[in-house]
Amino acid sequence: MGMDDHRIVALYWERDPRALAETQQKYSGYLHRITHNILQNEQDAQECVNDTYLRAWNAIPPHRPQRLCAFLGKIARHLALDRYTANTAQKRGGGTTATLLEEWRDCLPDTAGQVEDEVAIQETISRFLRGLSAQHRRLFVRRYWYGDSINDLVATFGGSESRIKTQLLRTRQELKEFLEKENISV
Amino acid sequence: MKREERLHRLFGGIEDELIEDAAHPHATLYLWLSRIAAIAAAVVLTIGIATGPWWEQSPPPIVDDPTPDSSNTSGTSDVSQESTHTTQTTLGTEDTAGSHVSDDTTTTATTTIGPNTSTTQKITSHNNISKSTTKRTTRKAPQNTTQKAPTTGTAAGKSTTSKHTFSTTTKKTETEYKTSAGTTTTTTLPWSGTAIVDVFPTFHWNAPTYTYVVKKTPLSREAWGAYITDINVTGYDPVTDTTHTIKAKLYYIDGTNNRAAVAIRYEGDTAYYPAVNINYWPSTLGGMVTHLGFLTQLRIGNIRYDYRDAEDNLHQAEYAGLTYEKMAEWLFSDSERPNVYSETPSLDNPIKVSVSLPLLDEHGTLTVSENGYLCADLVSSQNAFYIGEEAAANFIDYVQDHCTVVYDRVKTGD
Repeated sequence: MGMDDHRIVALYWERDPRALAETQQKYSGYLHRITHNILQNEQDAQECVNDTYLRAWNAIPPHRPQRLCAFLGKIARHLALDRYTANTAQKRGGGTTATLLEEWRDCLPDTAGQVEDEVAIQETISRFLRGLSAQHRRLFVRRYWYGDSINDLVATFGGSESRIKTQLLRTRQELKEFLEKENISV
Repeated sequence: MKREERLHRLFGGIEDELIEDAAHPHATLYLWLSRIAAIAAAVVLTIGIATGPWWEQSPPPIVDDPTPDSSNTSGTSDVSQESTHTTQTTLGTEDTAGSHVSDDTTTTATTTIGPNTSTTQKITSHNNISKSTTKRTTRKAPQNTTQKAPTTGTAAGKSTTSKHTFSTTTKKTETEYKTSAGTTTTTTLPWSGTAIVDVFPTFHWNAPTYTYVVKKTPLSREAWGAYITDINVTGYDPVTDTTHTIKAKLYYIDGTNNRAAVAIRYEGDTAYYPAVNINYWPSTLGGMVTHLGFLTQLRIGNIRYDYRDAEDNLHQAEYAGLTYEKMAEWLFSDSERPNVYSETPSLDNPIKVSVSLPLLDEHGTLTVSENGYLCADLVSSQNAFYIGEEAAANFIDYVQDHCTVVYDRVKTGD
């Protein structure tokens, strides 16, 4: 267990370099997992984690994240996706993220909705997730937010590979219907 | 960008709670352990044997509540008052520093420091911005973090043309670094291409404990009032390990107490930015309402409430249409309620009202709990007031009975 998140955030606000050390100690593994799941490349993943620390240092203040874990995770995920896009352009992509993107196609609304605002769409997706059972929600978030592989999910949630895949497929179809019903445009 | 990629990125912005909920491999077990821990903590609190409640670990700064600041009611004083400011620069009448703002403050530079740096700075220039060198301390920053140049594609690495004079005085504007592919790339460093509020994001004023954070949305001319004082603001560029200083002027914001927020104008810049005091600590509920100008400034958003019906089904509901008058009637009627943030127990079944102060570029939440607490998470600080269970219940009833239902559904699962 590392330092309490509120105390780490307080160190950032005091511009105390220990904030970075504590962040690294507590979250390096967590962040590395996120970036590595996306990039499948040790060096790239580690660079994104390092950039996450720098981003956090620059962002706090003025931000005061209520959930430091998610705050850092979002930065790392965003940076890793940027890196993934750049790598793909250089034909160095592929792997789990390519598979995930293919799976996301199942969720794309067929109809052109009117809601395009990113925040509104993110709130809609959050609302959809909250309507799922806890188990299904966690499974979906682990797959599409953390980028866990199917094997990881089987190890974590139990059951067979086909059962996990089927459940994810159903949830994707439900999300698609939900987005269409909410008039979302993607 | 392809649609599926956009959706994948949008998914990254889901609520933090959902991300954390799924963060643990055995989330269900974790949830139960968390609940057991919470119950254990509650028991410890109840019988009073804890070494110290969680809030004592990082107590909020105590700032005496000032009497209403008369200077803020003076309306829109003109900039021409700059030369006669000394009689209008009191920071409330009960300032903990025990002093009025005087010309002394004009020489009080801030001490924003970065990794590996200690307090600052020897001003070496008389330009709008002065560059200073920083001194190493024995504290060691983690490896591969602060001294690393930003990578391509990060916000820190974007390049735009700055209109501010400080960009011409920085040590260097470009650097070379190796990418993961082994190629050498040149990128513009953050300092030269970043907005002035991003390179000088904070400043201290009048007392070491008063730290103001500058917001990014400039104020309109009608919003800023009388001149207060001159200060020096320091910013740190972690990439070049350089500290920069710029002069600035502070002004009152009409309708807002200067302990809560002031306006700042950087030398060489025409905009007036709001800056909020992250150590703001009103002693009473009425103080907070007055200092932040709730009556004229507060904007009320939607209200979220999870509740159980008669059949014990858990509902998730959202409401809209709450007016300030009704909110004030139920929540702010007793202005003498003391700030009890440091004593606040857990909040039972809270109802959360999204609020904003557009003038200060601030968004936050007012939380009312069934056990009678009103918590304000606004202006980068948290304050709590005990308003009583009856007032809280009346407010919740009013929201459920009179506000527009955005959605109300039974939560399944768990």
